[in-house]
Amino acid sequence: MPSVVFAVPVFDKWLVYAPLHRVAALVNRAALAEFPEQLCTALAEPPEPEPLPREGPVNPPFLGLVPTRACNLSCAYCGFGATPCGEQMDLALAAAAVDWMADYAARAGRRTLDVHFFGGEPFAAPDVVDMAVHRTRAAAAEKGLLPRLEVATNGVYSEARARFVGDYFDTVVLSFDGFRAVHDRHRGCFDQVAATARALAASPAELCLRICVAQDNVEQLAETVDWFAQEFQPCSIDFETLQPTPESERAGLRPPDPYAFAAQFLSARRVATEHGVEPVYAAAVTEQPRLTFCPVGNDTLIVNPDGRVSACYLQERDWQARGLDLNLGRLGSDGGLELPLEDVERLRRLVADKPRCRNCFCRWSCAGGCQVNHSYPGCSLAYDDCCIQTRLITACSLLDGLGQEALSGELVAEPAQMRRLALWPSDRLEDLRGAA
Amino acid sequence: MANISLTSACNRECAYCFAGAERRLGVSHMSVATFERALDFLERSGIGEARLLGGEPTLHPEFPRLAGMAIARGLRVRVFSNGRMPEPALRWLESHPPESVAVLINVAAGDARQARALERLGNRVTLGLNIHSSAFDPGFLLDLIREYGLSPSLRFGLAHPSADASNRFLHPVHYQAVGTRLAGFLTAAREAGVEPSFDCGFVPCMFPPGSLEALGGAARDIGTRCSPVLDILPGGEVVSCYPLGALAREPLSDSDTAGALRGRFTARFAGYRKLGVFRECAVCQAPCHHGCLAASMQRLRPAASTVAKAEPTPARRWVIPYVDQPLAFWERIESEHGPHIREVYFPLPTEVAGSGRPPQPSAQLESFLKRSRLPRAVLVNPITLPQPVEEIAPPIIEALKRLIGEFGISSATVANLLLAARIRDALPALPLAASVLMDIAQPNQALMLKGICDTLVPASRVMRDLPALEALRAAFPGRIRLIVNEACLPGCPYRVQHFHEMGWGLARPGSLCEELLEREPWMRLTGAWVLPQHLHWLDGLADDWKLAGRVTLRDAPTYRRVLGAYVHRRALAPHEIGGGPASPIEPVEIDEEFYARTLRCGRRCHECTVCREYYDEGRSAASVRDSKRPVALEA
Amino acid sequence: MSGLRIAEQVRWAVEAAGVVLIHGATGETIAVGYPRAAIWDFLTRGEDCERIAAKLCAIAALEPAAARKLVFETVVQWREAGLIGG
Repeated sequence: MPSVVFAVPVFDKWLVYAPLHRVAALVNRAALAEFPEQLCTALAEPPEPEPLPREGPVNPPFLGLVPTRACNLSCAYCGFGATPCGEQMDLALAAAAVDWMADYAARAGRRTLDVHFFGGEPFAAPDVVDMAVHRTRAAAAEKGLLPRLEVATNGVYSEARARFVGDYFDTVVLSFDGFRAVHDRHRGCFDQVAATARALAASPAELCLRICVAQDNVEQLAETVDWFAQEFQPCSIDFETLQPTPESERAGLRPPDPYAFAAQFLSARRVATEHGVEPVYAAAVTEQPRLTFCPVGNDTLIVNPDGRVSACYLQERDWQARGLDLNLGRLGSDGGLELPLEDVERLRRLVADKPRCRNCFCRWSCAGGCQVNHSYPGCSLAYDDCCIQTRLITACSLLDGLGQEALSGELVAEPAQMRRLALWPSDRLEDLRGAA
Repeated sequence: MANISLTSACNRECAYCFAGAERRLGVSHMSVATFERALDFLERSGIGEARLLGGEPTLHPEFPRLAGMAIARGLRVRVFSNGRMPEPALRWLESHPPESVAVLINVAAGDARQARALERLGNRVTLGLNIHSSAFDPGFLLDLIREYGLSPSLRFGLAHPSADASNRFLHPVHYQAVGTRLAGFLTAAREAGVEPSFDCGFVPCMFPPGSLEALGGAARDIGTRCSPVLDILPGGEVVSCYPLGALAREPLSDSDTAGALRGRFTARFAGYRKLGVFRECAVCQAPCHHGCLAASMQRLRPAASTVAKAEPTPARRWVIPYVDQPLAFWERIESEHGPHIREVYFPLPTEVAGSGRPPQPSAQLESFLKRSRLPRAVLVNPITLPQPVEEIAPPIIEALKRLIGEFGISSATVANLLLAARIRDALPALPLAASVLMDIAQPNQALMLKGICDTLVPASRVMRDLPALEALRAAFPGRIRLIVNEACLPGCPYRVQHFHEMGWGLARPGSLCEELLEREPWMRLTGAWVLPQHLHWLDGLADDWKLAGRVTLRDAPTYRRVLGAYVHRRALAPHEIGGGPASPIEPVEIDEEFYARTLRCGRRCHECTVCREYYDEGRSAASVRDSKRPVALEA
Repeated sequence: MSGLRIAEQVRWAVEAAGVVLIHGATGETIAVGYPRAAIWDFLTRGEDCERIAAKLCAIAALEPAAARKLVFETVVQWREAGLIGG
C-alpha cells in the first residue's frame, strides 16, 4: 500500500483508517490480516498526497490583529495575566496591517479580505477595533473584495457595543462556559455575557459559543449544549479543554479527565446535531488531511500591539518557555513589513516534525494540535490527555460515519476499552501485522 | 393570489406565529359583509381561488357558510389550517370534492389533534411544514402521507419575523443548515413520488450546489425577492403580508384590485427592497438583495428587536419542587429562571418522623443541597402528626437546625399549627409557611396564624374562589402563596385520607377520587389549577406561586417545559401542567371566558351545567382518536 | 458624547461596502460608502465630531485637518437632508 494505513482496536474488532485514501472500515481480526476485496479495492486507488510543509511566498489565510493584551476580566484559568490597562496598538499600525493584507489579498486574486481579532479582550481597545473594522471594510470596497471579520471575545460590554459587533462582524466567537454557576466560577459576568449572546443571536453575525471544559463542567456538557442551542441558537459550539496554568491551579480548576471528556463530548455532539448546531472539537476534524491546524506553520500572521508579527496569538513568554521562537518579523506604521522568508520557512518546517504523532491514526487530522501547548519540540512521546481524548473522539466519529453509533456508544461506556484504544502503542497496520 | 383571514382565533400556540400581534388584540371574526367584499375583490382581480387563513379559519363560527359562499361564486377554496378543526367545519370540507376544496394543514410532529382531520379529508390535504429552527426533522411527513392517503405534495415555509420580531423565526444565519437538511430530505421525497413546493423567502444560496437542479419544477418557487402576498384581515384591512402587517395597511376598498394594491405596497416598501437577508452572500460573494423582506428588515437599525426593552427585574415568586435530577439540571434551571425562583422545596428527610412523605428519590439531593445556589426550603407537612406534638417537635426542630446549619435552608412549610408554633419558638428567625394541608380558607382562620406563620398557602378548595381569596388577602398580613397545579377537587372528601396514605409509600394512594371522576369526568374542570395563560386573573391575590409535581414533573424536559411556561405565562393545556390525579387527562381547550366564569360561580355544581357542557363540547371538538403518538406541545 | 442624534424616521443597515440609509417617511434610500460610512457608525453611537475625526485619520489615511473637514461637511450635509438633528 502506498500510504500509511492505521488500525485501532474496538472491542474484538478493528477500526481501519487510511486518511489519505479517505477510507475507514470496521473489520474483524481475520480480515485485519487479509483485507476483504472491497477494502483492497478502495485502498488501491491513488491516495491524496501526504500533507507537506507549505512552500513559496508567505500565504496567510487571514490577518490576525491583537489590538491589546489587556482584558476587562480576570478569568480563573487565564494565564495571560491581563489587566484592564495595557498597551494598545497604535491606530496607524493597525491601519498599516489592514492595508498590507488588503494589498496582498488583491494581488493574490482572493475574493475576501479576512481579518481576525484576538486579545486579551479586543474590545479593551475599542478605538483600535473600530478603526480596524472600518479600515478593513473601506479597503475591501476599494479593492473589490468582500470583508470577512471575525473576533474572539468575552462579551462583557454594553448593548450598544454588542450591536456593533453583531452588525459589523461576520463571525463572533464568544467565550461562554455554561450555566451561571460554572460561568461565574470560571469567568464572571454571566448575565452580561448571556445578554450579549442573545444580542448576537439576533444579529447578522454567525455566533460561535466557545466552552472551556474543566473538571467542574465536563459532566454537564450535554445539558449545556441543549440549553445553548435552545436559548441562543448559535451556528456552532466549540469545545476546548482547559490548559492548566498557575492561575487555574490556584482556583482549583483542572482539565477534565480525558476519558470523561471524550464520552461527554460525544453525548453533547449528538445533542448539538439534533438542534442543527455544529459541534466543533478542532483536533478531531477529519474532512481534510492536514499537516497542522495550528496557526503556526499555516503562514498565519498575527500583528501584536507593538508591531511584532508572530505566527501564534499566545503570549511570547508562553512559547519562549517551550524554547520556541514564533516571531516572524515586524510591521511598521509606514506599512513596511519585515518578513524574512527564512523565518517563515523555519516555522513551516517546525510543524512537520512531530515524533509523537508518527504512529497515531490522527496524525493527519489532529496533526499534533497546538504547537506551543501540545506538540512543542522535546515534548514527551507518550500520549497525553489531549491525545487520549482526541483519539477516542476521532475513533468514535469514524465509527459513527460507518453507521456504528451503537458501537461507539458502547466504547465510551467501557473504561477499559477506551484505555486500550487510547493508549494503543502503534496504530500502524504494518506494526500490527508485524507483531502478529 | 390573495389571502382572506377569517378570524384571529386559534387553538394552537405556535412559537413562530407571525399573526401574534393581531391575536393579542383579541379574537376577531370577519363579518359576512366583509367576506362578501373580499370575494368581490377576488373577482375584480381575476383571482379564481379563495385562500382562507386565520388564526385557525375553521374556528370562525360561520365557516361553512363563508366557504360555501366562495364555492357558490365559482371560486375554488383552499383552506390553510392547523388541522384542529371543529366538527361542523370538518363535515363541510369532507362533503366537497378535492376539485373544489383543498386543505393545507401545517403539521407538527406528534400532534394527535390533527389526526381526525387528516383521516377524514384524505387526498384533499397537502401537508405543510413551517421551518423555524435548523433542527427541524421532516421525516414524519412522508409517514403521514402514506398513513392517511394524503395528497402526494408538501409545502415548505420559512418562519419569517413579524415586524417586532416577537415570534420565533428562522434567522438567515441558519438558512444553509436548513437548506442542506431539506435537500437531503427532498431526495427521499421525490423518490416516494411526493412533490415539494416552497412558500416565499427561500433563496437559492441556502441549498447545496447542484441540489436545486434536482428539484426540477419546484425550484421555480425558490425565487429571489418576495412580492406582496396580500392578506385581508378580519376587520377588512389589507396588508402586504402578515410579517409586514404592522408597517403598512390599507382599508379594503370596493374598487381596488390586487394589482393596484400590490403596486402601492411595492412602492411603500421600495426603499427597503434593496436590502437582502444577508449583508453579502457567502455563496454569491456579492451584496445580497434577496430573500424575505421582513427578514431583511431585521438588519435595520434601530429596529424593535434591537431596542433595549427595559424589562422589570423579576421578583422571586416561584416556589418549585425538588426532583431527583443531577446538578446540571438545577444549574440550568438557575440559568434559565434564576431571578424568578424563590425557593426549591423538598420534604424533611424521612429518618425524621413526621415528614408526611415516604422516602423520596434522593440520590442527587445532597449534591443539590451542597452545590446548587438556588434557595431551598423544607416541607414538614404530614396531614396528621403521628405522635403528640410535644414528642415529635424536638426531633423535627433538631433536624431543621441541622438543615439550616449545613445547607442554609431558608424557610419551612408546616401543615400542623401546633408544630409550627413550636418551631417558631425554637427558631424565631426561620420563616414559616402554613401548608395547604392546614386548610386555611376563611378570614377568621387567618387570624389563627398570627405570630406563627409568615406565608399562607390557602386551602385547595378556595384556590379558584376569587371572593374567598380576596377575603383572605384582606385578612392575612403576610404573603399568600397559591399552588398553580395541585388540581384537587374543591372540598374533596377523600383529601385527608389521600394525604394520610401518601406517608405510606411512593406509589400510594394512586387516586381515591378515581371512581367519582369516572362517573363525573367533567369535575376535572373544577379542580384547583390555573393555566399559565390565566395567571393574570389571580395577580394581586398571590405574592408567590407554587408549582407541585415531585412525581408528575420528575422528568427533566417536562419539568423545564412546565416551569418555563408558568414563569413566562406561555399557554399550556390542563393535561400538560403536571397536576394531581384529579386533573384533566385529555386535551381540552380552556378559554378565558370559561375560566373566568368559574372563579366566581360559587360552586353551585348541583344546579349548574356550565362545566358539564364545556367538558362535553371539548371532548367532541378535540381529537379523541386513539393514537400511539404522544401529544406534542408546539415549541 | 455627541449632541447629534439620528432622525427618528431614519433606518439604516450595514452592507458590505458601507451602510444604506432609508428614510422611513419618504422611502428615500441613500447608499453611503467609505469613509463616510464610518462617520455614520460613530454618530449612531453618540461619538462627537472631534473623536470621529481622530479615528477617520487612520480609517481614511487623512491628515487631521482633512479629516475634520470631511466630518463637518458630512454632518452639515446629513443635517440638511434631515438625516440627523440636534
